[in-house]
Amino acid sequence: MSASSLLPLLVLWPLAGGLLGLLLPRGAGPLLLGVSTGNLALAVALVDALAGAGKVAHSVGGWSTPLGIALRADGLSAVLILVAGAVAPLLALYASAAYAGRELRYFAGLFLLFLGALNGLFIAGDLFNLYVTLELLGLSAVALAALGGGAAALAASLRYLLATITGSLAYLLGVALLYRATGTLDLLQLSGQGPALPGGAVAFALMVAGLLLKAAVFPLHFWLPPAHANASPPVSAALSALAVKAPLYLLLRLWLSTYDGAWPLVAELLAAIGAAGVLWCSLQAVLQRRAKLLVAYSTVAQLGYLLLALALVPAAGAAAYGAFTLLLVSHVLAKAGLFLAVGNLARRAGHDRLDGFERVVQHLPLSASAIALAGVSLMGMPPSGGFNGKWLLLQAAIATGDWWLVAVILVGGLLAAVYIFKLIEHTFGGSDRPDATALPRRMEWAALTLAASAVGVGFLGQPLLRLLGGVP
Amino acid sequence: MSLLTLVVFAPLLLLPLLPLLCGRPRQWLVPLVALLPVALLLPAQPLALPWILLGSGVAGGGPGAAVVSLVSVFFALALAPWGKGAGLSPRVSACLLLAQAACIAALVATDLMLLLAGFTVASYALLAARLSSGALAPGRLPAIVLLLVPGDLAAFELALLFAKVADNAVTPSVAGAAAVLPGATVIAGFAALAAASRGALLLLVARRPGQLLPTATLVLLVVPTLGWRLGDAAGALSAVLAVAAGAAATAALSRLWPPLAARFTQARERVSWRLLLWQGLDAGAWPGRLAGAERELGSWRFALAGAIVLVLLLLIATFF
Amino acid sequence: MSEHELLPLAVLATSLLPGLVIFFLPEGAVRVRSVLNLAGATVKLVLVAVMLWGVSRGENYAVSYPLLPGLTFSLRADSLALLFVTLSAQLWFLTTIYAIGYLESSPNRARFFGFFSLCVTATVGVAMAGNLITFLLFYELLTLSTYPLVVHRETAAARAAGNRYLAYTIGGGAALLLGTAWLYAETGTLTFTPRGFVDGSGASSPVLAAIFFLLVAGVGVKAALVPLHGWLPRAMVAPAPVSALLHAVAVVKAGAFGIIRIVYDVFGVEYAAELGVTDALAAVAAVTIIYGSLRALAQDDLKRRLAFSTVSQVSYIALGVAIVGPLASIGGIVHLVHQGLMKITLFFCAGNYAETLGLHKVSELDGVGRRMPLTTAAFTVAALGMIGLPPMAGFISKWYLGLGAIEAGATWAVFVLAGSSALNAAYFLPILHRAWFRAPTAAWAPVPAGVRAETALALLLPPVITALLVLLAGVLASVQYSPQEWATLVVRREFYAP
Repeated sequence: MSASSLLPLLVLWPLAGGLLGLLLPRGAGPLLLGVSTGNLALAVALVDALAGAGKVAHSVGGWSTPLGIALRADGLSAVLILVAGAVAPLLALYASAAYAGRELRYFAGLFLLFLGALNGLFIAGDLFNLYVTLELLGLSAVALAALGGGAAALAASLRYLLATITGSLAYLLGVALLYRATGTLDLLQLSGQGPALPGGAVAFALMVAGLLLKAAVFPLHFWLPPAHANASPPVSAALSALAVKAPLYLLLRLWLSTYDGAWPLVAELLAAIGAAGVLWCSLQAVLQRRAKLLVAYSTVAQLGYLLLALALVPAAGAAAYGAFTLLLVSHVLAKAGLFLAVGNLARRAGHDRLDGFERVVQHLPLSASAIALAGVSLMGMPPSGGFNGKWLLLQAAIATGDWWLVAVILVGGLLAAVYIFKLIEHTFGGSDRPDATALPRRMEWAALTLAASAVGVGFLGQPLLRLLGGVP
Repeated sequence: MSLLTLVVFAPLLLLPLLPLLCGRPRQWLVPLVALLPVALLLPAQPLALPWILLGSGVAGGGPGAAVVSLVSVFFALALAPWGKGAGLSPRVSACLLLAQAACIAALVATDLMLLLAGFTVASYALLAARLSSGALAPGRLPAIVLLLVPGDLAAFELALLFAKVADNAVTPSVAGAAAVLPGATVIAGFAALAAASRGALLLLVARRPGQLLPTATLVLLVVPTLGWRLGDAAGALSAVLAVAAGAAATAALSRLWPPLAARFTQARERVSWRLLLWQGLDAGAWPGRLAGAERELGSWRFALAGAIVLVLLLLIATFF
Repeated sequence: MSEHELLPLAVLATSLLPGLVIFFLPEGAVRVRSVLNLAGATVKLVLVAVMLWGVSRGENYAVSYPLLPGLTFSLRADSLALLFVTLSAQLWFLTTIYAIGYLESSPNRARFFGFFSLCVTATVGVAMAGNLITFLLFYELLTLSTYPLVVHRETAAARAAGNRYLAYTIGGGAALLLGTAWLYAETGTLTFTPRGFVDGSGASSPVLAAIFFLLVAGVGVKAALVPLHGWLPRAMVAPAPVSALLHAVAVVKAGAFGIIRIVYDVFGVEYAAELGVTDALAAVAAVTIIYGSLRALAQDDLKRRLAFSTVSQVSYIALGVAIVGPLASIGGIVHLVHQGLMKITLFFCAGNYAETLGLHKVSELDGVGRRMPLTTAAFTVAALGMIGLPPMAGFISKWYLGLGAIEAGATWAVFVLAGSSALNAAYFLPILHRAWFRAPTAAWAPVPAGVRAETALALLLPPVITALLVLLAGVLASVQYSPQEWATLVVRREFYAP
């Protein structure tokens, strides 16, 4: 199989699996596991192919641009596909223990659609396909969020739906403006043209605002905490770890390639938004009294870091680009692990109030360890992927002389430590509840594996950066 | 050679433990042990002990040998069971043996480190022996310690000063120190303070020979001899004077102590403001305000307004 | 991979692997756990001995792995590292025995011993870190692995102490991270180099001074420099073996060791003195020494008194480092070992009083020497050493510090030392007096019939051994491989140009 034919397969395989999952009356568990493991194998194959070539491209149906659909993968796509592919089987494993019956079937179908959309987004080569995959991703995410069933979950996912549609519309408007000006949507052909186009600035503002809304970046994060906190654990993990990263990835492509990192003030604005997000949402996370809300706010705060790194790329180059990627990768792993672990705690306690966890550290030691390990990465303590990302981000900020960003990064890290340890401290307290049911071990192991790999990825900084390559 | 001396001498270091190990019936052994140094040291050649402290040495023989013999004899007498069958308790005997060993170490040391070590250990061992054998009059112990500790510090500073004078030697020798002492008033002052502090020990004396002899030996024999080693006749004389002054000062202080001590009260732990701050973050009023602000942010009204403002800001940013 | 690369990793693994395995052992597997722990500790001792022998003959043990471009994970067993590794390996062995006895039949022991091993791993890592980033890595690991030990009892007080501990140490970690990142941005390297790598890097002096203060503030938190010491007295709610570890081997020492590394191997002491930053460090150390002792005077809780004593004593190390000159350096570095031996003895003894007789306060110790003579004897030796009386270990450190201060013309430091000795006497001698010479006020449970020792052997042996070491480290200070001799080797080989 040639390297380029991997690209369509990466989209079709999970999509087909998802449709099958929705249709088949039973066997959703094995299907989910099998398809997501297969997807991981494809992702590894892609990485392998890229290691030699650097870039892989494929034109669907043999039609070349501007007529056909172009799929392209570079280092960044490969890294993201790989990490999403690595998370998916573990989420599947967890879900196959956490759900049963119809619920499992829905989850399997929707999650695989979600995965296919995500893969598609990472390899899409033109703005319209990016829109399609983004929309598919958003819709499947909303459906997943509603899977929890409760009134709160429904209300939250409705909010999510409205937010994601608004964001998509703003983005689509921007795309339309670009198309009118150039007659093409291919990213390569548009490369570097954005700023000079008539209406290019307006298109840019619309697209960026829409993406920021979809990514739940402060101050447009209002929809995320309730949606993520009320979903069931594997869904929260998928949403927090993967769904919100896609719009940021798109923002990076758009700004750095189509708009060539234009307008220094945009960089400043993005950095300011990111910094404010880091501080405000970390503070909110500290104040939460419910574990899942705490973790959800932590997600928004970490998105602020990603935006900071993104904003520094034009000025600081490789360091910031590496920081963005490493932070993203480690956040995916850590947050997925954290949500699963907190889900375990909540499932055992019957609620997710911080002050009422029942001696989880004794009864669910693996989940407690998962929280601690994921916390290490989120706080940016060495050795962890989070630390590597933070280190590169600090270097980028120091190199560009943005000392206020250095301060924000450090304060954000301290606040992260406060909320993580608030979580950990509560695992040590409480009283015994002997009647609580035991959890299936794989639910604990899935959480621990994810969290441990967030730490372990700290030792893979070099290979990841090599795979990533230079700033596109 | 040094390894051999280590093997030969190391067991000797354990001798003070003998009374604790051999039990009451065999306490008659103890005075004999106290006489051992005479036999061992009198004929001995000067001996380097490079593994002791920072590299030491001892030299017996000469007039010093007489003092060593005297010290040994006095301690042996003190350790002997004196009438009425009531020997010293093993703990007291052990302390006394330790004190004797330390006295002799100070007397025969060729370097200041060993001298200092012996001087200090002898004082504290005597103090422990006296405390073990019965209560002191109230106020005496604090007074003694109050003088003893500064005396130790003075001895320490004294040794440092000698080291400085001897061109930053790590282990200054006694002979080298003796050459400087009479000339420097500062050094002499420290030496006097060190000697005076031992005068305080005189207040430990009780009527029984087990208490009287060792204390008197240390304070009236060993301390002046050390003074003499460091400063000839003048050194010995000033050591005696200092000892007398120290004893008088301690006597006065021991009368003053009980009323003084009554004035001191236990200092109270103050509440730390940092703790208040740390707790305040969790429970104070402003987190409520923060949470309220976050709720406001979450309303659609704000979200839409925020999105529009963001678009405008981005547009403005593109003009620059 | 050659033996020279393998040994440092193996030394780490001897505590890391048992720790990880212990987490997954069931709570009841006491014997397997104890055997694992002790086997690990023994193997570590042997490996460290091999490295000691090798390094004294000039061998190099180092291994590295790239983390990011320009950033490597690097372990290197130089002579200074080995000083600290040897201390922690020995004391870990003894503390493990002690902890097995102390925690007998208490809950959550698997967790305890797991983190205990991690904590030692982190300490050894701190010691062998070959560059600042590896140091930071293990320094943070130490923070994380000691937290569960501090809150081990899970009471409200323990959790509050844990929070306090984290608030300080994580803040310190942030300062250290900032300093490290800034230093890297300025100089482009972080590798510890004898006599420093900062001089000649072209960075401006004020920037370097700022970096120095950031780094020292970062490690100063763990070294409990005033005003960053607030966590230490609270953390003593932890079980006695943890306090022993915290105060003697791991946390506080990691901070002090960090100061040593930063001054000598990052800046180079002579260059640091040129920058003028050592004077500030010396001043802080002096204030800490006196302040810690003053606070210790007022404490009635034994462990609290010991905790403030640690605050004071650890700054001897900082003081020795801050005074320029080989003698002061020897004093500071050898005190790293001496303070460890003395303080661990004191905490072991305090634990024995608490565990055997339920005594926690100084005022309850009247006459305890009669009931527990060996424990009290060990306590006495260590306390006298703390005061600095010859011939205990503490005297040797004090002697070198004093010599160094005079050599460098810093006579004020001699008075600080004298003042601290006087204060040490003021808060230790009353304890000794109570223990030995006062009549017991309470009737204690007698020694059970058929038992010869005053308390469980696992509790008794460690303090007796460490007390003997305190004595030997002083009396035999110039024997080869004694702490003093090794410290002299370190200083000659690495800190000053020959």
